[in-house]
Amino acid sequence: MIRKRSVAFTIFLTMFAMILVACGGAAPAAQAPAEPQVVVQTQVVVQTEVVEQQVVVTPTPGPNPEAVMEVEEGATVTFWTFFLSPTFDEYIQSTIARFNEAYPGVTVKWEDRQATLQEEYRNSLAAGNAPDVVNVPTGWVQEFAQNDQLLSMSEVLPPAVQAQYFADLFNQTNVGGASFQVPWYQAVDAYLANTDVLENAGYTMDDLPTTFDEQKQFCLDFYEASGIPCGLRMQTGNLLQTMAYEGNVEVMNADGTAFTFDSPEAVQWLQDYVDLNEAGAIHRDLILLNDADDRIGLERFTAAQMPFYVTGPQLIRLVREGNPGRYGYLALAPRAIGRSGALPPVSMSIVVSQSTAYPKAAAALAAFFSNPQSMLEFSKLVAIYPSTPASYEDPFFTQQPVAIEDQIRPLAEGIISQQKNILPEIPRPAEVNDIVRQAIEGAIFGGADPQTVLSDAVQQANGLIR
Amino acid sequence: MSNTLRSRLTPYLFLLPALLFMATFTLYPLVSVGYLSFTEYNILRPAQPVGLANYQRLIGDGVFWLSLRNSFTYLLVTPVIIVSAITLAIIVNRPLLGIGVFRALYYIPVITGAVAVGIAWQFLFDGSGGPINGMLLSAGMIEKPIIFLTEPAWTLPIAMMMTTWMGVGYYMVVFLAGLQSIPEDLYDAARIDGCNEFQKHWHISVPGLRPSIVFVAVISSLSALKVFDEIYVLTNGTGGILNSGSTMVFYLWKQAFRLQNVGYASAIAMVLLVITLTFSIINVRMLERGEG
Repeated sequence: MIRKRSVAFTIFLTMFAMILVACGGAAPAAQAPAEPQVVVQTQVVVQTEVVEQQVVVTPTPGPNPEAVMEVEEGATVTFWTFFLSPTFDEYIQSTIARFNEAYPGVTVKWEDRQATLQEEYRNSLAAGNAPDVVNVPTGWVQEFAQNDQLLSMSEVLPPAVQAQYFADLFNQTNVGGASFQVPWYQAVDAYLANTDVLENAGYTMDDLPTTFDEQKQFCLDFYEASGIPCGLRMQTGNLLQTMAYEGNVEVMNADGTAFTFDSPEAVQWLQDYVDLNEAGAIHRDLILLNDADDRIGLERFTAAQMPFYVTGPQLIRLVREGNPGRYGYLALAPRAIGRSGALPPVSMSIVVSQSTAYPKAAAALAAFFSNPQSMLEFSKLVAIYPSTPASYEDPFFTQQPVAIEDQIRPLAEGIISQQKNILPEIPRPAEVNDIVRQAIEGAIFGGADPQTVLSDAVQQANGLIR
Repeated sequence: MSNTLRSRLTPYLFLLPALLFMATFTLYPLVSVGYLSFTEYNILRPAQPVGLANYQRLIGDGVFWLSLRNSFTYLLVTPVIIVSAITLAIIVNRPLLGIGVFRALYYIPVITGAVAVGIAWQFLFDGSGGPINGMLLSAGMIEKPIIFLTEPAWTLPIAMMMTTWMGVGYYMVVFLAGLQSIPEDLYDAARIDGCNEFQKHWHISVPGLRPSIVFVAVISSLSALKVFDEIYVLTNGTGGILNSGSTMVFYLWKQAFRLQNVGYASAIAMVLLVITLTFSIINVRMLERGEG
């Protein structure tokens, strides 16, 4: 012990001396010649001894926890995404790299498609060279599933994988009682409010409507108080959805053999919009604006021409880019719930083509991109929300948000878990939607009686399925 | 191979590349569309023969007749374009300083993409802050803005104005070339005879431009029958409120690519083919007579 202390003391002295020398810097020229110094040197001798011992071998890593199903060895899977490149290139590529770690035998070829995705996918299916896995808006799934072009995820995915999603989202596209998609990233349609416009009219965020009926009254009152109309917009890609959620309309009979969207509930719903339009309380050129033209409504909102706009928080960045000064006046609030009491899913799906040569590998890729880990990482990049309950266990979803676009985040799990599809399987959805659109236009813009146009539309729609 | 046979085959060999090209890109699609018009086909499933059902459906389809009517209404663009283009050509056919700049300015819409022009025109007629509404409001002609593109009565006229604006520069160049081939002596003679400016152009320029007028009439009327871009962009792909801006080609596109009724769309295409063919034959006859 004493010996150890003396060695430590010697080392300390040596270091102290070296520090003093170092701090001294260059000696001035006028100084006396340096006195001889006693330098204590410590020599450390390292001895290496070879010892024979039992080597503990780390066991071969177990299956990657993200590898949740058997896949075909040597599979090559083509994956098309929708409007994600170049913004999310790094995310997609890193997720594919993780997928390759989980499924080393599978090669993924990723391509991003943009505005023409629907046509390109349709044509590729007809030409027999469709991609194996495709990211599509959920509203498109029904058409491809009804034409036997998609793999049933209810059949190909193990029950445990199916259970990773909110059940109502996994089952949201009901075609023959099966699911033909896995739910990918979700959006939450909220009221994006302009507090400046509200306050100028004597309103606060607390005055925003919470139900469809309150919304009508709010728009009428707000227009009277301020002369500024509301920016309401229907889901033009699926108008029956708007009708069903907002108006609590049964769009088809129980056995799915006839359309019934000319009921008193449907007429009342349409009459509400007619009233709002006649009063000038809504922007009439926005009400039936195509889903793809969200920017027009956002531009109008950015220019302070409406008190609120129903949109996803992920689009707030467009308002910020268009008018940075407006950003400070933005606030988010949950949108009004319709008479049905349910919230429609606003989601992206991943589907697998029926024609794929590697159904298991393709389904594994779809499940991988939508698993809790992948979803969580995606959510951290942009204001989208996971379709997997497990993702919300991460502190990211419980932290208090700072940015305005993140205000919905702590509420997201509650909202997403309530989203569900309440519509039955609609036959010939595109044509029926066009018929419904004509009816709505006739009543709102053509001055026709809502009951008459809806009854005519039901007759036409029933003609399609008979 | 005998010389006679060779000399007979040679012209056909020269024609072969063009014939192959036309057979692949014109004849084959034409025959295919003809066949598909007798089927029900949605791209995703094989075509199913349905006989004349698609043609029978056309008869009772109100939107088809509205689209047909709109396409013929669109032909009104032709005389407007001819008069505007001749007027412009006469104006820019003067040796004025900087006239080349004006000629280029009038031509710019021709080389601007229809989508860009469509968006600009949407902005012009916008109901919330559009310049047209702004001018009408400040002139006191209206009390509140008109939401032009949600008014069925306005969709087609706005699209027609846009077509005229986009096309007039091109036809101006055609007429300018025609004007420059009219001998100057004729104008000198007219001046000596006491003609004013209008009479001079009415009696010399217009008759001198007859071949060009027939040519422009043929080309612009066929273009009017095939109009699509303007309608698509102005109405955001909907055809306008209550199909007010739907034309034959737009309706064909909507049936084929929005509603996946490819068979029915093919039937519309065959009707359009008959109409444009008839129109072309009449026009070509006029053209021949004009040249004669």
